[in-house]
Amino acid sequence: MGIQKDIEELLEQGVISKETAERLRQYYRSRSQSSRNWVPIVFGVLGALLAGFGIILVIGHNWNMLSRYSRSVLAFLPLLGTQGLTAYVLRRKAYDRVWSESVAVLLILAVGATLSLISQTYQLVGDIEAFLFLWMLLAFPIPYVLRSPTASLLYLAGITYHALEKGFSFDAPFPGSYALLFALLVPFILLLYRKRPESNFTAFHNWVVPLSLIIGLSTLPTDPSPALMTVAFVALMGSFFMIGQWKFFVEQKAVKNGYRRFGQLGLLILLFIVSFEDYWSGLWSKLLESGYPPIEGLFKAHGIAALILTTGALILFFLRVRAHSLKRLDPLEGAFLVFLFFFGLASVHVPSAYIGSNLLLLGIGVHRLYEGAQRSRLGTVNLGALILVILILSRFFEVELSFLARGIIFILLGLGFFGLNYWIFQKRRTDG
Amino acid sequence: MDKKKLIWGAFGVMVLLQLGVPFRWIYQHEKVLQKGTPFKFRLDPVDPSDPFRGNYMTLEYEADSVPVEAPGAWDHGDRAYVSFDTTDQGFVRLLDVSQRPFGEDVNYFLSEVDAVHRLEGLKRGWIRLEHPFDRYFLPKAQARNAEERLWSPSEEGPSYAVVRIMDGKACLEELIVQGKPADRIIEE
Repeated sequence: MGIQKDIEELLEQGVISKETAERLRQYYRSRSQSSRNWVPIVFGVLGALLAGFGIILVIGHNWNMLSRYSRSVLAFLPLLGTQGLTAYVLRRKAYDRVWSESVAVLLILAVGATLSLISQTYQLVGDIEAFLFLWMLLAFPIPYVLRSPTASLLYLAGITYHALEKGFSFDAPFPGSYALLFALLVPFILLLYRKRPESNFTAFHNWVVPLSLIIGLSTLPTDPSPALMTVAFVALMGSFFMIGQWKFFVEQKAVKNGYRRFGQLGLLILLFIVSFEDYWSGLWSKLLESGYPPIEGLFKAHGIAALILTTGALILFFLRVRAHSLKRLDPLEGAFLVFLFFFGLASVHVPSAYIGSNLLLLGIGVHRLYEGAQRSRLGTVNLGALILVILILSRFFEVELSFLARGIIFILLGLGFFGLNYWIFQKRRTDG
Repeated sequence: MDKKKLIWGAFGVMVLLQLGVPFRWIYQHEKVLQKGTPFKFRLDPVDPSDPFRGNYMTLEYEADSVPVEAPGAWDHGDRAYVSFDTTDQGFVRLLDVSQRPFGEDVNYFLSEVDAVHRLEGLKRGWIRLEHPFDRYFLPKAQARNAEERLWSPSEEGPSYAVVRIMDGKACLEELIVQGKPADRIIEE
């Protein structure tokens, strides 16, 4: 109501024209409707998905009864039909989210259906990952044209499936295909965050985007040595965590901050993996033994990925330091830098890298404990304690200890956990 | 630029691309199917399933290997131009393989290297090829029936694929299973 009143006032004062006023009224009407009426959008999209899959199943059954020409003509009908619907939506229903989202989903499926039917009709051979690549390449404009976050999510699912299929094939060419397809969607994702920061569909992207990137990166070939993949993953998780620490994401509900969750969990898992001596001893010798000098290894797919992701993480880190001072950053934001340092250090002195990586985890665990205790946050305290416990238990696997000694340490750790939680409870009660 | 014009412009380009790619496929393949010369390739099959394009039979051909003098020059996935002639029974017999197209007076088509084998103690070897017409789409019931007929011994006639070839480009036109078109095999 406040907005409507403002529009009337601006119109009366001659600040805006009648046409502008009407467009503003329409826009705010549809926005308030869409924020209240997400149910029709979801059901509209579900209906479009079911209808679309039904069409694909019918088409996938092979239409052998018709001539090649008839099949070719019919193959274009789903695509022409949905393109016509798209034109109608753009002309008449541009602000109607139900129409836009449903038609966007149908159009993505129609592109796949047409390609599929023509392939069958002409016996066109190609691997499934090549088919998915072409399908997604033709579908990438759809989220932009219809401004559809649902189409964007479907596209992300498609390119992730393409990466998975490619990862399983022995001779997949063009290892950068997933990266190219993902890059095509990046401007749309950034626009989404700018124009619709509060939307639930935008929030889904906070989970789907990092998940897609993790899967996409993990399908890269790691020949001749997987060492550089660790660097790539640490940089990626570090980037996720830093993005999740950004004001825009921190101000939202925690459940919407997929970047921070993935980043934190991923970094901790990776740091635990590299806390084992086995990882460091032989790291550089294996890399060099593989027959590729380190520089040449950087030109392999995973080497290029490691370079790009590390550069991206460094840029993010400097932006974070510029926005807040180094002291105010979370230790996990700089963890990737410290890991990089140890990665290089391992080439000259393995024990230092091994001990350093353990001290890094110890520092993070202690910091979480301290921060949780200061703010009386049970979750943070328990996370810190869990990090320390797992660190200690991990070292158990590497050190020879009697059962008695291990038993005593387990008991002490368990008592420590209980004691810590009890103390926090008491502190919260006294702090009110 | 006006935002609406930008969106309509993007829509126009998108429609052109989405229609243009399948149209181009059709044009290229129709040209070969109309004007190409038909050749018969004898076969042996296996049957998987492709979730997005219906069911198909994977076709393996008797004519799928070629001897080479320098196997070291070839690698898995390389493009290979394969020259051929026909036997007395009219089936394709592979002759030679090259990394460049052959001349106009030679029958050849474009294939792909699947595996390279070296003869022990010798510099020579042979290449196994993966032809671009190694799948045939059929309804599930027909594919199953066709596969069973292919594996069972019979004197009804040979099983082969009819492939149209023009300027090195090959298009699978028809599949004949024991003398009968695969499209017409009905589930018994």
